[in-house]
Amino acid sequence: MIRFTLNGEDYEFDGADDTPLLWVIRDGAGLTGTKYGCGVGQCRACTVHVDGRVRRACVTSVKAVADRTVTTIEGLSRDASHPVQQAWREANVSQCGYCQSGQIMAVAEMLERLPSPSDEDIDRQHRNICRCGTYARIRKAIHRAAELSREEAARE
Amino acid sequence: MSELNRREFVKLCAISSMGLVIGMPRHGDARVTAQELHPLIKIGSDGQIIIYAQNPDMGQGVKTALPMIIAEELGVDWASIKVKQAPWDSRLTNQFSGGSLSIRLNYNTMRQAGASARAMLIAAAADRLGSPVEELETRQGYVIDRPGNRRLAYADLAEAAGALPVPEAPALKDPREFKLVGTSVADVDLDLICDGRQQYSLDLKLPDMLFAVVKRCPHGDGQPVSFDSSGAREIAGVVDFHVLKNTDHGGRIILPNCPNFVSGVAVLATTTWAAMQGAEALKVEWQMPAARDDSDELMQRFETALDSESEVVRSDGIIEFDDQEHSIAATYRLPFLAHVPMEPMNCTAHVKGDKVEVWAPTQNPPMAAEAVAKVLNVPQQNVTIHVLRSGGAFGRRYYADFITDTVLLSRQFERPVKTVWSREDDVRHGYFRPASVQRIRAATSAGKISHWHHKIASHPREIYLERDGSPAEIGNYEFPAGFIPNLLFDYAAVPARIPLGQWRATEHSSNVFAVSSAIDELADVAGIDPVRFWLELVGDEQFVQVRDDFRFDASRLRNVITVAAQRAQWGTPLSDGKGRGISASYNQGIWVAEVAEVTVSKDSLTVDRITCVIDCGLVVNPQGAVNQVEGGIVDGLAAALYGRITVKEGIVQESNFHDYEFCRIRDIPEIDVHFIDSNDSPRGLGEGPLPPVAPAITNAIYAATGKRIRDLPIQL
Repeated sequence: MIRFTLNGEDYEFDGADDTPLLWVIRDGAGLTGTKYGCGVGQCRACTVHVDGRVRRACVTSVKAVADRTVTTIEGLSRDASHPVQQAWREANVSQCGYCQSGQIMAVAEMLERLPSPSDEDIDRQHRNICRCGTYARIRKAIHRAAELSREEAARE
Repeated sequence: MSELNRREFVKLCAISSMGLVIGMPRHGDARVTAQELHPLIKIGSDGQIIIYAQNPDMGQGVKTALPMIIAEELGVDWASIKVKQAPWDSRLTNQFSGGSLSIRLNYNTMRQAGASARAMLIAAAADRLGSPVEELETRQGYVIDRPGNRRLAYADLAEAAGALPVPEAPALKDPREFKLVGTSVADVDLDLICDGRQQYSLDLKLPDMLFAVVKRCPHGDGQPVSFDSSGAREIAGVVDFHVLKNTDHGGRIILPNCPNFVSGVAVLATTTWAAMQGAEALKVEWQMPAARDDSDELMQRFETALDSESEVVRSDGIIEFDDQEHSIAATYRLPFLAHVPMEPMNCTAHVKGDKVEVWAPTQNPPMAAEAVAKVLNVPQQNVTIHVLRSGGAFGRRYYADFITDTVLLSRQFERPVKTVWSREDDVRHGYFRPASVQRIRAATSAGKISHWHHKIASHPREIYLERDGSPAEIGNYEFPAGFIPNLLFDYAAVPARIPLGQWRATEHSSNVFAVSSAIDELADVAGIDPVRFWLELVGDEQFVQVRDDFRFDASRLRNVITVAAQRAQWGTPLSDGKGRGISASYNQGIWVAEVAEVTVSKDSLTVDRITCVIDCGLVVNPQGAVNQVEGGIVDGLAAALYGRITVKEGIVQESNFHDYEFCRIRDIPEIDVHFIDSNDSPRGLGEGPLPPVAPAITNAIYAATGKRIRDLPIQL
């Protein structure tokens, strides 16, 4: 039995401990915002946070998150109000939308580490694939999310 | 309509009975019913107006744009309506997303849908109020009687309106009075996408459902002989196995233009992961076909075929190359390309007796219904196709190969079954953009192109997909046909057994590369600036009669080239290692010009900027249109930089994003998208912006370095 915290709640998994976290989240917990895109850690559609850091759920075994805290897109904010989600809506980023949970999760964590990323930082650090090619708007939304986060921090 | 009184209106109406009342129980309120005014328009007794998106959305934005057109004519406030995706409905026409046709083919139909429902609501109000229809108008979901200062909500009129016949030719708005069409509207699913709640087909879970992963024959023409499940049975959650042979169910191509599933052995399990592991552990002995192609060897055969017999597609004037002032002969090589939509292929089905329910990310619901009916031998009216938002598609989901095996599995196990493809399954069992070798010989006279011979050798879709008609992957209307006095297009078909299908701007994605490259090469040997050379070629006439039934508006091509050159600051000096390249095309009904600006330093290429100017007629949703064009450009960039499928002994060698790469954010240039103002009827944007990308880049590389790139993907 593997126990971990999933979006603030206790979760128990009673299967093979090498099961990828992705399938525990999707088929086990029924949280389908985390997407399967490649299964080999290439596309990052499955990006989640483990103890606040970006992890590719398709290449992370469930035993690696035992007693840790896992956050998925469903747990990123209470009401989709995270600055990255706000910026994504403002910029109309999505097309098919399939990769966007992973994009948003990756950017949310990047902004924790790099509150004001330059374009070069984004080029180096943001590696998620968007097959529809929404990248120009992703870049715009990252800068906007950074701005919104700074405004939020200033208010607090 | 406004000039007719109510009686005349009814008399002129077509006799039709679309207005049936159907119950639509909701959670907690079984009393809410909905009145259908058109297959795409329902008004609930609670007042909720629902507009259905006719065509599948795969990220191209038609779930937003098509309902916008209906809402415009219906006269409702966009914020007040609910948009849903229509399931397959045999009463609808053109219910597929492909060929950039959703908007182009359905613009008038959507207008008429909205306008006829509005006319029915006005007629019902006229009856209720005893007012002549010409005194009634509509505003934001109400019929208003101006003189009487009375108003009635659509919801209160819906039932009476639904009982009226549907007018055949309702009056349409003057497009100059459009309030919604032409304004930017956010994608209807944007909020769901941003908080992770958007449901895709892969996310669907039905009670008692089994997950299936099919271990398919590595060669699409092979068959399973036997299998050993001893290892797979050990995996917790694995339930059963089932052999699927397409030879027992309609063959490799089930309908003209529609591949059937690839034969294999299905592993059924209680979770996706168990089914995937089961397929991994399963051992299958295959009977491989005798004919097994190599893509490299096939390219050689194409090359040889350029000097052998061919089908003449178009022949104007006399093609002789001897003593022209400037001439070129260049050969271009284009690889097979896969679609790799972000959501891997999948389908869910539940067969209950002779009734079939399918949930699929399909681009083509009517084809899916036809294929399902055929493979199960049930009448089409017993088939329900629920259309889910696709996580990308790009032509891959046009077919039904990922649906036919799923319905067979559900029938076999008498349970709902979801078939899931791994990314490896997707790459190895794609239906690829045809590879080709293309040769253009061309010459100038007095600074203009006088001779043009474009010959293509490829493995054509017509043969692979068993479609009727000429196999030629070049049309007799394609640019520059009609613009050059001595012109020959010919095509050599080389049969092979590598699976082929629609891709984004399928043949244009290849042919435009050759054409725009050759024009640039010829401009160079003639010593003429490429933009000037393009404009000389396009000429000064407004129209060019390309074919008896096709008058080409050359002024629109001239315009996009001129505006693109201006916006890209064509002709202004650039520093060393930088260059600009231009390309242009007319494909899928739109006029496009693109200028790429690149930097080449040693062996590294950076695409700095792409300027794209488009004339697509009226732009329905400018925000959605920009998104679609940017996406097409990125797809074109990926084809220029990375895309190549390699086949050895009939087996695809690539498998996932590490060896079939796609652009990431670091690859993306600054993109400037500009639409020419136009009141012409709208065209689709899915494909047109893609083909000019690669030649704009390679022409820019030439300008920067003097090195001519004729093979894709680009290798410096």
